[in-house]
Amino acid sequence: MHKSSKNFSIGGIELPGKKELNNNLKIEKLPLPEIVYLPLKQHIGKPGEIIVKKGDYVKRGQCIVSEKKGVSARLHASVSGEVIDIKAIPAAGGGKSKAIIIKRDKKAEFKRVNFNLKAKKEKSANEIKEIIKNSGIIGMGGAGFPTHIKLSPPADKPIDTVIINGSESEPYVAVDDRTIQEKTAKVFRGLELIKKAVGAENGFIACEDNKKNAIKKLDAEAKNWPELTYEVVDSFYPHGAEKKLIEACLNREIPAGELPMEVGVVVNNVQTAVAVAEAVDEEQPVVDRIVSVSGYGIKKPKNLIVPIGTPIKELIDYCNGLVSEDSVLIIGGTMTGFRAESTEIPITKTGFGIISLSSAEYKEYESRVCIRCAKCVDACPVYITPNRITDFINNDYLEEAEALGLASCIECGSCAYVCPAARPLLRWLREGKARLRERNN
Amino acid sequence: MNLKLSGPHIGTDDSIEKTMWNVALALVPAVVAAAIFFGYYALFLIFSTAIFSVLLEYPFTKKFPGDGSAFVTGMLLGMSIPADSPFWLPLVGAFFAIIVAKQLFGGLGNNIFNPALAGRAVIRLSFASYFASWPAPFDAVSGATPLAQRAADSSYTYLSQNGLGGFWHLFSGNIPGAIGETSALALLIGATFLYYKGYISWRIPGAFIATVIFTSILLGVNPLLSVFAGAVILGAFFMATDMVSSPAAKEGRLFFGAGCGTLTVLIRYFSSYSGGVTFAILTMNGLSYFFDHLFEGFHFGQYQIRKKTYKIIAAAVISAGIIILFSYVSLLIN
Repeated sequence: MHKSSKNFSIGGIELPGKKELNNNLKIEKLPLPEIVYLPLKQHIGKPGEIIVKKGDYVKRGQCIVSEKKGVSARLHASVSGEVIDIKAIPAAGGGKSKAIIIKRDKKAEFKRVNFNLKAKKEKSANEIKEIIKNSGIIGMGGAGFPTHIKLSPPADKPIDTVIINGSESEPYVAVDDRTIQEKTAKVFRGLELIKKAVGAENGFIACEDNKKNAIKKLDAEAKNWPELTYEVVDSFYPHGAEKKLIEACLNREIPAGELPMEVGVVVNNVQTAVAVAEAVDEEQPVVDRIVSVSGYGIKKPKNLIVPIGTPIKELIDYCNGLVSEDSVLIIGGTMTGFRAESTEIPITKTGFGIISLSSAEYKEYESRVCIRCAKCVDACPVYITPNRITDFINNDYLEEAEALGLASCIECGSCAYVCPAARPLLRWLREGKARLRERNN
Repeated sequence: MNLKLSGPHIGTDDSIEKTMWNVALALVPAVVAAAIFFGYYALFLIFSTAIFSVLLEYPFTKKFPGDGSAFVTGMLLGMSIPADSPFWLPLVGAFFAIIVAKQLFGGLGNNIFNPALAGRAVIRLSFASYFASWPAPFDAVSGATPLAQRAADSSYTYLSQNGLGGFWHLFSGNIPGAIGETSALALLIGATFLYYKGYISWRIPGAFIATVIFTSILLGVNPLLSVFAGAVILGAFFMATDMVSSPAAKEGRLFFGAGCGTLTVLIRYFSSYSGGVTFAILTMNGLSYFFDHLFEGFHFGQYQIRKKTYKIIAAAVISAGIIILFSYVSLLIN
C-alpha cells in the first residue's frame, strides 16, 4: 500500500539526512556501566524530590526521586547498586545539575517481569495514567514534557486524535526508525493505550518518507490494529516539531502560546509510546533508552540501548572512539542539541543522540553583518522574522521582539542553518526567550 | 545554559561571497548579449566599472577582491548606461555608489539605497545629455528608445510598427537602450539561474512585473512595451531584489515589488525624466524598513487574526477594483 506523503505549506528546510550511517544497524545492548549519574532535571518543569540517601542500596527500577506537585516526574534507578553520592555534575548545555550517583553491584541481576498480555485484564484510562506517572515517563523525543500531565487535559478540552511522532527530522539520528522496525507491535500497543487514556477516537503513527523499511513494517503491522493507522510525511525539517506535525497531518494550527490539546490533539514520541507499552504490559519503568551514536567523527556508528545515566564516554568507547581529536561531540541532534563540554555528561531520558561531526562539517559562527537576504524568513516554520527579532534582542528591545512573535519560536534552528552571514540566530533567539522568561517571572 | 554550546552545528555551505559571485555569474548572459549587440566597448565599460568599484571599496574592507558585492554593483551600473558613454561616466557613478551610497552608510548590509541605482541616478541627472540618445545594437544609428518614442508620441507602440518580428527584437534586446537592459531573454536566463539557486524569490519580481502590466493596462499602454522595452526586467530581477535594500518580511516584499511596478509606469508616463525603474526602486528602497515593520505578516498560531485581516484586505481590494473599473469605464464613455 502506498500512502501519499503529507507536508506543511510554509517554511522549513531540506536537510541532508545522513541516515545511511546507522539506519540499517540493529539496536545493540550496551554493557552495563560501572557508575551511573542520574540528574534530577530530566524533564521540563520542577525537579522531583530525592527519596534515597547516600549509602542506600537501590534496585534497578526502584523509584529514587518522587514527583512534586505540578509539572514534575519520577525517576528510577537504572542499575542495582549503592548510592555513592548526591552532588552537582556537568549537564548537557553547560552548567551543572544535581544528580544521584549509583555504583553498580556486579552480582545483582535484574529480572524483567514478563506478563502474558492476553491473560491480563485490560486497564482503565485512569489506571493507565497512574502507571505512566509511576513509571516516570516523559516525552522522550527531546522536549521532556511529563507524559501523565500531557494525557490529563482539562475536561473542557476533549482530545480526538493521538499522534505518535516517528518523524525524526534531525540528521544522523535513527532512533525512531530502528524502534519502529524492531518494536512495531509495541509502538502500536503504546498508541492504543495512550488513545484509551485520553479517550480519543483516532490514533496514528506519523513517519517520514525516508524511512522506507519502517513504513513497510508499519504497513504490515497496521493490519493487526483495526482502529489504528499510520501516516507518511515528507522528509522535511522540522517535521519532528509537534506543532508542524499537527499542521502537516491534520491541517490544524495551534494558537500562539497554546499546547496541542487546544486543537484536540496529543502528540507523543515513538520512544514514549514504547515506554508506555512496556510500563503497562511489563511493569517496567523508564530505565533504558535508545540512543543513536553516529556522525563522521565516530569510528563505528551504532544504535544502542543504554541505561539512563550512562556517561557518554562509555557509549563513545563502545563505538571505537572518535576519528580524531578535533571531532566535535554533540548531545542531542545536530540542529537543536548542545555541544558536549565533557564526556562525563550522562545520557538523560531525552538524550536521543550522540553525534560527532568532523571539524570541517561543524558550522563556526562568525556573526557577520546581516545582508537581509531573508533566507531565515523564508525558512522559518512559524513565519517570524529571525533577522529583525534578533536585532531587537541584541539591542535590548524585548517588547518589540515579543510583539514580533519571539515566544512563538520553536527553536528548530532552520534560520541559523541557512544564514549565509553565519549569524548565530538560534543562540540569540534562545537568549531572548530566556530573558523574556526571566522578565515575566 | 551556555549558549555558546548551542547549535545548529551544521549549516549550508552558503556565504555572502557565494551569494554575490552567483549574482555576478547570473549577469553573464546579459553581458554576453551586450557584447554581441554593442561590441567590445560595452564589455570594457561593464568590467572597468566593476573593477573600479572593487578598488574603491578596498580602503574600507581591506580585502581584495572583497565579498563580491562591489563587483556586482559595478557590473549593474555599467550595464545601465548607453553604450557610447565616455569611459569616465560610469566611474563617477561608481564613486558615488560605493563611497556615498554604501560605505558612508556603514558598508554592506547597512546601506538603505541600492548603490548601483544611486550611482546611476546621480550620473543620469548630472550628465543628462549622455542619456538623451541611445545607440542601437550592431552599430546602427543612435536614436530614442522605444519608451522615449512612446513618451513623445502617445499613439506609438513598437509592436504596431514592427509587427511580431518587433516583439522578438524587443524580447531578445535588438533595440536601442542601455547596455545590459535591452535583452530580456539573456536577463531571464540569469534570473532563472538565481531562482533555482534560491537567491531570489518570486515575490519582488512577480509583484513588480504584475503591477507594471496592470498599471500599463490602466493607462492604456501596451504592457509588452512596458515590460520589455525598458529596464523593467533588469530592475525586477536584479535591482529590486538587491537583498540589502529590499524588505525581508514576506508580505513586505510583495508590497515593495508592487510599489516599484506602479511607480515605474507612473514616472515613465507622467514625469519629464525617463528612467522610471531607477527612481521607482530608489523611492521604494527608502520605504523598505517601513514595509518590514508595516507588513510584518502573521506568525504561526494567529490564524484567527489572519483570517479577519485577510477579509478586510480582500474587501478593500475588491472595492478599490470596482471604483477603478467604474471610473475607467466612465472615462472611456466620455
